[in-house]
Amino acid sequence: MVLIKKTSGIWIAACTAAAVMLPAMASAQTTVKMVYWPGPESDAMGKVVDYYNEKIAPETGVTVDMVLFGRDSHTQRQEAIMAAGSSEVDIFYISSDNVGKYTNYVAPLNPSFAALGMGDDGSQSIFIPSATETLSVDGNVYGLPLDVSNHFLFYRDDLISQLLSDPDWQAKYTALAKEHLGKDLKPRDPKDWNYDDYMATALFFTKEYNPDSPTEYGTALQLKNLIYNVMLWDDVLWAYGGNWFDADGKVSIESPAAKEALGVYNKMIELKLTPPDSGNYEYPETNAALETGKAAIALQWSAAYHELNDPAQSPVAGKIAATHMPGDGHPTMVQSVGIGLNAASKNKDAVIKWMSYLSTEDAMRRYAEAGGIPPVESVLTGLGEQRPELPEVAIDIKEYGYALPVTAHTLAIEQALIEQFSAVWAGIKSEDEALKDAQAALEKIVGG
Amino acid sequence: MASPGLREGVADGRLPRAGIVAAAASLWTMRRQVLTYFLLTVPLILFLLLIVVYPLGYAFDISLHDVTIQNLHGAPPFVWFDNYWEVLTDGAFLDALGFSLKFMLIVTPIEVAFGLGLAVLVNSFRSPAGRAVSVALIMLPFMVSPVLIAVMYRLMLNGFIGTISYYLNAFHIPISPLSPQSVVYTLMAIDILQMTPFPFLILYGGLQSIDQQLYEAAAIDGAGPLTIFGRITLPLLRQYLIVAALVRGLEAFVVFEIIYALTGGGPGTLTTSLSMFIYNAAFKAGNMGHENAASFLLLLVLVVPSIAAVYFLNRNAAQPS
Repeated sequence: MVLIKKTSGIWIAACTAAAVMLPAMASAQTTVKMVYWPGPESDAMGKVVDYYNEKIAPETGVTVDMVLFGRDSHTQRQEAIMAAGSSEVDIFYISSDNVGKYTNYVAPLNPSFAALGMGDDGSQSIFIPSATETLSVDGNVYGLPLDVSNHFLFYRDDLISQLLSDPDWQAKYTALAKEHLGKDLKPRDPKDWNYDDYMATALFFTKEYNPDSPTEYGTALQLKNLIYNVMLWDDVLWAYGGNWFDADGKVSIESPAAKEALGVYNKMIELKLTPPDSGNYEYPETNAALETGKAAIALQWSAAYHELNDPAQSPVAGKIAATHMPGDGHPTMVQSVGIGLNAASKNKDAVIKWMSYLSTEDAMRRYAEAGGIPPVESVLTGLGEQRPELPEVAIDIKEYGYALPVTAHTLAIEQALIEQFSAVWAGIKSEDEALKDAQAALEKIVGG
Repeated sequence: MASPGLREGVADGRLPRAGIVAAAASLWTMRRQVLTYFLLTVPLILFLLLIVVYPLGYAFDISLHDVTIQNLHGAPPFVWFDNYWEVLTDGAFLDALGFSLKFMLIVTPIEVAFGLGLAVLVNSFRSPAGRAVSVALIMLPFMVSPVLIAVMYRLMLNGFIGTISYYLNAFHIPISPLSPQSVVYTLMAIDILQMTPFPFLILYGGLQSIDQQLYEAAAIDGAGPLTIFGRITLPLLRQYLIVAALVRGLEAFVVFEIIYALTGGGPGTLTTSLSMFIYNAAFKAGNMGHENAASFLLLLVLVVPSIAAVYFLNRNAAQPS
């Protein structure tokens, strides 16, 4: 008791010091708020955030708070924060579709390349360049590409193997290609396909032309009025040397390449190589066509690989193989989602510290192990045993990947194209009419 | 001219004072009542100003500017009524307007007719339990979100795994419900299946308010079922029918959810309603000035039938039958 009395002054001083110091110590830990879109990507990122907050935040002094607005209201709420110039959140969730229109609200990362561990000019970045390019506008990098999607050519491995080895099937294939496509073709390994091979194979596996076909339709094209579907078709356009714009940046959708690319889809629709209700197909319908054994080949998003080969939900699991897209150069569009620094953020340095962790292989490996697909070659190839499609994703986006033109109007352009082309695929418009209207629509969008 | 009583009152000097006091009290009571009513409505008025008038004014302001997400935080150029002119001369807008009108004009009468038929049928059940169960079953589709209904039909209409497609194939019916030739009618059929319970509910309520003695008297006079329906039921349901048709018509005109989830407005723009057009203008094209102009034009198109709907609803509430 006497001791307590004697030391009471020390105790009071210590408590006072603690009262003063604790908030100061707490404030040394900066919290950055990061918007994410709820879904598989946020589930995977949540694991990385948890690890970072527990193990690394004490060293960096930065804690991360992931904010989920809800799948439906995400865009509206995020854009409201941007338009208000608010610093309510520090990090925005961006994608290759919308980064072009957010450049007034997202700070370029170029001045922070060194702090992000990417070297002074970004050349030491671990991210595959085609993915970084999808979040870049006019040489400025506006975000870290944390998750990537591309397209694969999916095919029934068992059926294609037989086609490549059975002389009767091969003869029939060649005869059908000559009769309906007017071309001399022989079955080839899907790795070497162009779109003639794709059409001929779809023809061979359509019962109407080949009653012995194990599948009713050769393929299942995604023709719904949905921007993701025109992204698949863009690969065909790129394979024929086309683009939305010419080298001078002028709209060039009304081109021979676009006509050829539209012709590929139209020919398959005309010959009924794809089911009659394909006009309303998107990702799940094409998966269903493959899973139910009704179609033999498909152009599809790489994310489908796991679902198609999951024995719990796919009767053809183990029989579905994937390779790069057909055509010259095997072009596949690379779509990235990632994070960008809010230009109005008051915690920019703290955000860069968090981003510098995300720019490491350790962070991206954790993200991939949690289900994400980071565009980091070493991580994707390293996980090949657990997820066989990832090494192919790495090769495809590195070797064959291209970024769609990133502009403030990317979404508007995609919407205008799918409106025109889905009308062609539905037989409502002619190819020429749709290309002419698409040219006018794009010129209006870009010029307006 | 004052009454004799009043004259007497004036003569003995009582009334003027008492009358003035009474009149003043009455006036004060009236003013207090008015003030009370006003004060009671102030929160509602403020609420309406906040959630209706201000957003409308703001939206109108945006419709007069060339606003996109890029310049929303800055100073978007004032373009007068250019956005309205652009929308009105946009073929896609006119196509969407045509689709919405067609959709409304086809589904509304069918839904009201089916709703009336169901209401008459259920009303004819003698058992109260039978009526209650029937009403509950009929109302079920209406209780489900239109987006969910659309997703359900997307699965059921799927050519590979859908039950509807399965039975169409099994009975060799050569119809592909989502093909360009039939997709519009498929959407209409889904809307009819989901929304018919609404007119049913209104008309069933209306039927229950009709005095049964009228039917008994008509039966005694030898009137047959059709005569009774034509001479008693329909005339007495007139206001309910108008209200049901107006409300359903307005809702059908702005149809969005089932189209968004099922067709995305396609193939092409074949199933793009006005609401889909506005959604695409805002969230795909990011052209907010254009989208707000289209929204105001939609508002103008709907304002007349909306006022009519409110008028009939009020009249219906005041004079149930």
